[in-house]
Amino acid sequence: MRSRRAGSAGDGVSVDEEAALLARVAAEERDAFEALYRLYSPRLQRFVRGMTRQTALVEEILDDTMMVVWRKAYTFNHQSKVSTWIFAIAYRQSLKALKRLGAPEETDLDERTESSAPGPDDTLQQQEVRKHLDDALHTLSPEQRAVMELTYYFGYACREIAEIMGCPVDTVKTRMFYARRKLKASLASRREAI
Amino acid sequence: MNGRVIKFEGPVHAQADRLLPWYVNGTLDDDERVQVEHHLAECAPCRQEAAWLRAVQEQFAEQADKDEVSPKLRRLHRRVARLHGAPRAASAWHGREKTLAWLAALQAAVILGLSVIVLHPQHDSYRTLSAPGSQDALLVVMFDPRTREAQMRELVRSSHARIVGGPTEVGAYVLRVPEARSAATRKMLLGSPQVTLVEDLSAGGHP
Repeated sequence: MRSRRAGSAGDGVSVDEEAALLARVAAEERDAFEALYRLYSPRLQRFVRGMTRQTALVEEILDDTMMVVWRKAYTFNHQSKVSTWIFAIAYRQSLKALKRLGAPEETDLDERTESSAPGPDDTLQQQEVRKHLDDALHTLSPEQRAVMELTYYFGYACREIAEIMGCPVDTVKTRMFYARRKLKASLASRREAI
Repeated sequence: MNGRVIKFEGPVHAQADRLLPWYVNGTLDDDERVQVEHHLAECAPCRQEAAWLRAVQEQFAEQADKDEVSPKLRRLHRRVARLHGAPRAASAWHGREKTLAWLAALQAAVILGLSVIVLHPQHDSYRTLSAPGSQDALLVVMFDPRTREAQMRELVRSSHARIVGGPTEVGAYVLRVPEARSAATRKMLLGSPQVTLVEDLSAGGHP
């Protein structure tokens, strides 16, 4: 079964109903905006927190995101799902906030990251993931964390993530590739430190 | 992005490896999924990688359970129940009134729709395997969208129920359960973090 989270409309609200809600937001109906805010704020908070790892920024980015939704709702062209469109705004707002904060931009140094430790057996690996994944995620870039979050927390397809991040599908795969490497390296370093 | 983008047009192993994250989250299209499955059958390292990615996915799912981001239907269902059972606290509920009414209507529609489907009169002399016996209760159940198929199967099995309908468009299932176990099954399902809604159809849709 596909693990469907924010990858499609949630909370029993269909994709079409979300589009209708956004159309009402475009017509500046405040109660529709409030409904959309209630529908999306928990998911966006999780996404922004997971991507930026900056708790203090979450509320600000959420507000900025929803303000863009309010102002730009009329530009929604139904080429994508509402959720994809809104997550794309949240992604851009998160990057902007991190830039204001002076966070380093993504580099290609990631490809040097390689675990030199021998691979443990499956059971041990899974125990490591359970214990240390959250810490290991800190070692990723915001873009890599966004890919992980969108894939495993929200259940998006690769193509949808490319839409959200405004990049080619191969870029998403590349980010995921390096994210996996870095996570494994981080988990392995903990293993060696024990 | 400043990083170098890798072109994934190489050997079959590299292609399958890059698709594994989305094979694990179940979002590949059929062609890609078949390609990955064929490769997994003959590649032990990729099977190991898939197992690792599943562990990662499960960890995210556990976080999601803690966050309670998704099971809002369950929470809102409780709120709707409270709304029916208690005087409304005007200021707190005022802004939510429309949403709650809408959710209540949605819930009613789900139950009504399933009632029509499942309880539609059948010829007395003919009963399908999925039709309720006189000693059976029917429950409408909605699972958290993140629930994996294996978890759902285990939940249904351990509750001594059988799926006899669904999923509907909103993801609801109809479960048949021996009447004698109905209350215990409802209680068990309601206590499960994977379940967002349980309604007893045979009781007229009351929780």
